[in-house]
Amino acid sequence: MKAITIAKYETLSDLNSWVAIIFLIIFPLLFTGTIVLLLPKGDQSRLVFLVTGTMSTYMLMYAGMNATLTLIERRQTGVLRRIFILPVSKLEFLAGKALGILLQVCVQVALMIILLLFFGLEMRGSWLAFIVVMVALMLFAITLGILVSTLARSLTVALLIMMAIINPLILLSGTWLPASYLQQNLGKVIQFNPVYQALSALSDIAVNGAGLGQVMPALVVVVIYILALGGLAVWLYEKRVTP
Amino acid sequence: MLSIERQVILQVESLCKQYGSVNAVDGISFAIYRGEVLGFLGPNGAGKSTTIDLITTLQQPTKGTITYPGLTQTSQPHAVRQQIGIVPQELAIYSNLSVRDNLIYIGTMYGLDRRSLNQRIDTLLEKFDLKAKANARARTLSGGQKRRLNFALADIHAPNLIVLDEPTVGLDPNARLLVWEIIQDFRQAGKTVLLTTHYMEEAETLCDRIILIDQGHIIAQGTPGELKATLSDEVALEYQVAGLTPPRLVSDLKGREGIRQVNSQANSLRVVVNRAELEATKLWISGTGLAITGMHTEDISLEDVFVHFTGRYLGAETRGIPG
Repeated sequence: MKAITIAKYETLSDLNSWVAIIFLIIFPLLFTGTIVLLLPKGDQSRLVFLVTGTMSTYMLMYAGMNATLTLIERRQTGVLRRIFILPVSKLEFLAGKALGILLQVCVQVALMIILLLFFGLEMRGSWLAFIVVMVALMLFAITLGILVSTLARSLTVALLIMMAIINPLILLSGTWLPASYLQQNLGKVIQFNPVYQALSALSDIAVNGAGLGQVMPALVVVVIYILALGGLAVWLYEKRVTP
Repeated sequence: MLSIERQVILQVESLCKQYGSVNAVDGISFAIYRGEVLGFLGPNGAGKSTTIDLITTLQQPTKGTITYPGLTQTSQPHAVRQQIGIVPQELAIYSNLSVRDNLIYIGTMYGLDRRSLNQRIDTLLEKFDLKAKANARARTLSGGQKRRLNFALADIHAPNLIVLDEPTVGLDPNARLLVWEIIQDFRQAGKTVLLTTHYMEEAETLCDRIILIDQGHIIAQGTPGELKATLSDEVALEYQVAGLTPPRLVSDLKGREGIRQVNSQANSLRVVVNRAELEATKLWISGTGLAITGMHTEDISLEDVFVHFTGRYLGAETRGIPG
């Protein structure tokens, strides 16, 4: 229950400005609408993949950056120090924080889906599978952001670390450069890229009509990353981070 | 005021905290009694903040025990945290949330139900003069209002112990005075307060008892009067001088009979001397040709006591007199 309260007030604090709300709501609508209107209407499934692929990368950045920057800001203002002597475990606080960001991203996913439906674009596979993979991808971004917040002491350093990690992950995700275009060895390496796995799964769902069972191997890879990064982040908060 | 029964609300025994080969806190023992304002006084790096981190369960001790009545810090950290409210050095508030939401958020974390939380919030808004700003975002508050909110958040669950971690560091005199008033209000309300500071006058003005800490060790503890009584045979001579006192004169002065301490700063010279040698010392100094612009005698200060035990000065900035 405390995690829900944490999610509520952390989100309220993050979104308590017009700029934040514009980024949360207007940007996904504008982004999705622009892609749909600009690209040729021939293959609708491919269009759905492109929209979801590009939107996912945007939301990946949003979720990861939000987690790391707000946590560092909380540390710099002394709020984290106050939070960590509340009768709440660090895991509970970080879970609440992650839940709040996940809810923000879910709003963006919902807006994107509404717009796709508005433009009459067809989803060949399961919506449930699509949402599950999308949520897993966002949780990966959030846990990565939380982990980076334990390593960086300033917003600038955190931003640089996040860019240094997320950009290659996105570049090698198959959305911008298809895996078949890459050198053979790199083609194998990107199998370990959770963003590649997630976006491939989304592509399978949107274009090939895959269900949850068919994308399960990709989902497992992403979940392993979430557990590993999340576990490491909580451990570092417990052991290393002096608020 | 010291309670007659002196009920212990926190007992620290042989507390140690090591970082690698550094002993940040080295075997300190003390108790905090209900209703008192206890000052932890020492220079930067003395171990004050580490002690607070240990007391508030933010860190685990390397050795030693911290016991609250019926609770131990290591085995029941959440129950211990319920007993404590902390005011960090920084303004640890959610600036994008309203004053009321800040209080609701933190109060909910302490497990207060909605009804009692609302009652408590109304009381605190009144007490800290924030009623008119209850629905304003914290970032729109004045500096003083933010500081009052910072204190209100520490008091939201009516804790047994309020810990103030150098609450006046870096504040202008007006803001410092405001903090002093809040602490004095806590004291009048019978709250138990642990105040860390490196400002002598702050400790002397606000605290019932003071613990002098240096390099992780407690070097003395007692009421301000008791601490000063350790130098009851001494008196301080405070000279205003033009420029800096020549080093040779300082050195000669230190070698004289009855001289305990000599502190030479730009435009001032402070000499702690045995009362029996007071007149002889005054006479000797006036005969040195030092460009004296003023002189008065003073009672022994806590800084003199600190120097007596450590041989080191805390520094002029530690006097911290508001206004």
